[in-house]
Amino acid sequence: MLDLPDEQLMQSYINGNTKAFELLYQKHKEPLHRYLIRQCQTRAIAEELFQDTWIKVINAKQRYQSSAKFSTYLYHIAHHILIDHYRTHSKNVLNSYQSHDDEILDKLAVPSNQQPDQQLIQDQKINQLIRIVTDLPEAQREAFILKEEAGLSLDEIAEVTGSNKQAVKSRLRYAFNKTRTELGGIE
Amino acid sequence: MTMPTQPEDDFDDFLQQQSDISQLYQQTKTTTVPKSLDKKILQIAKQQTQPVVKKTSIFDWLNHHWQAPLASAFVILMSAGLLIQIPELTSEKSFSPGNMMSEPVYEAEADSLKDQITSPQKEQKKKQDTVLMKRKPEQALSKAVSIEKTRVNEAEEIQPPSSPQRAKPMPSEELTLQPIFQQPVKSFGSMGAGVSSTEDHSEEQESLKVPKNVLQAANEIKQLIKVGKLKQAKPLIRQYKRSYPNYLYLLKGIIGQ
Repeated sequence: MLDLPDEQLMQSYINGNTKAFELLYQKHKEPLHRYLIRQCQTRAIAEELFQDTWIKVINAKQRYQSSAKFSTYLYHIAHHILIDHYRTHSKNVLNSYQSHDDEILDKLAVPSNQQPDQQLIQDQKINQLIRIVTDLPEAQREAFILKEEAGLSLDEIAEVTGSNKQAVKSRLRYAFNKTRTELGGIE
Repeated sequence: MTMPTQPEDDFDDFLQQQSDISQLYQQTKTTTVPKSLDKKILQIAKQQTQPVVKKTSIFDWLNHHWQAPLASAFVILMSAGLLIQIPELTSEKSFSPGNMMSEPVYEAEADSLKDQITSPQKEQKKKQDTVLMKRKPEQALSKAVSIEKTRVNEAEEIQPPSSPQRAKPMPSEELTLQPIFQQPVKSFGSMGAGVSSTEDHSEEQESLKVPKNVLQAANEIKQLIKVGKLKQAKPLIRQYKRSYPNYLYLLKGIIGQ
């Protein structure tokens, strides 16, 4: 069953196989969780949205068509839940995520007495990348994360976000150039 | 000597997740979903796959799903039944005497009435008339008219055509309007008065059936009452009642008159 594609696992779950859903969940939970954390910047809200996304996948299982790629279907739901969240909450509230960044950095940090110089440089790069991504405009950040986290193609990102391929490509180019420029300063 | 990398090539690598940025980003994937959240979501997923068995009785099923359709169907059926029945009830054919006479039950009743109409048991006839009226008044009317016609014809055969005192027989049109069962008492009460042809006929028939001594007693009482000698009539009436209990209807006719 592990070798089965996502679409067949979902179909199996629709037919009543709970184990198939567990496999799907294990496969997609971390990328989806990170996508939501990067987008809404607060762990508590991200977990709430994460739960809402999966519940919606479960409840709307009968409407799932196996012709659609499961990851596209999953992130499409997550995207709409996120948009609804943006609409119902003030943007300023969502932007107050500095504490979360610190939390992530704390998690990533290794005790100072164990840090070799090379590790220190690498950690600085990672922290810098997170800050750069976090500072990206929402649409570009979303396109970047969907590509990096979910591994979606340009077409799939366009489908998830409800835009066209060229627009997605343009957003990704902007995100790539900005990230490379800012990371180049470190090097 | 290495070739300088072009920005477009780097972007293509980035799209293929083969750029330095992509590799560096892979190292940021450290966050983990809380176990409690995992458990909660998997539990919800498990619950959704279990079929919900709801115990419902037949009455609940009827109440919730079929109450309105059943009621509508019932109303429609009843309405259709009424619409079909009403024209049959109101049609002239169903009330025509000929149509009713064709029914064997009423034919039998008519025959029995015909037999009993000439008998002295008028009370019995009245009862039968009443029963017939209750069943179907129009049908009874038609039968009574036909019987009356028969009686008139019989009377015509019996009485001499040159009798100056006898009135002419009532035309058939009048007979149809004045059936005997509608005025049975009057017919007998006016016995001997010679008011109408029908009454005369019935008197004549009565005289044919009733014993002579009874008729004499009845006429005697009648004469006394007519003259106004009620005191003398009373003992005769008592005696008549005792002697001829079967012919009390004659007495009732006299007293009523």
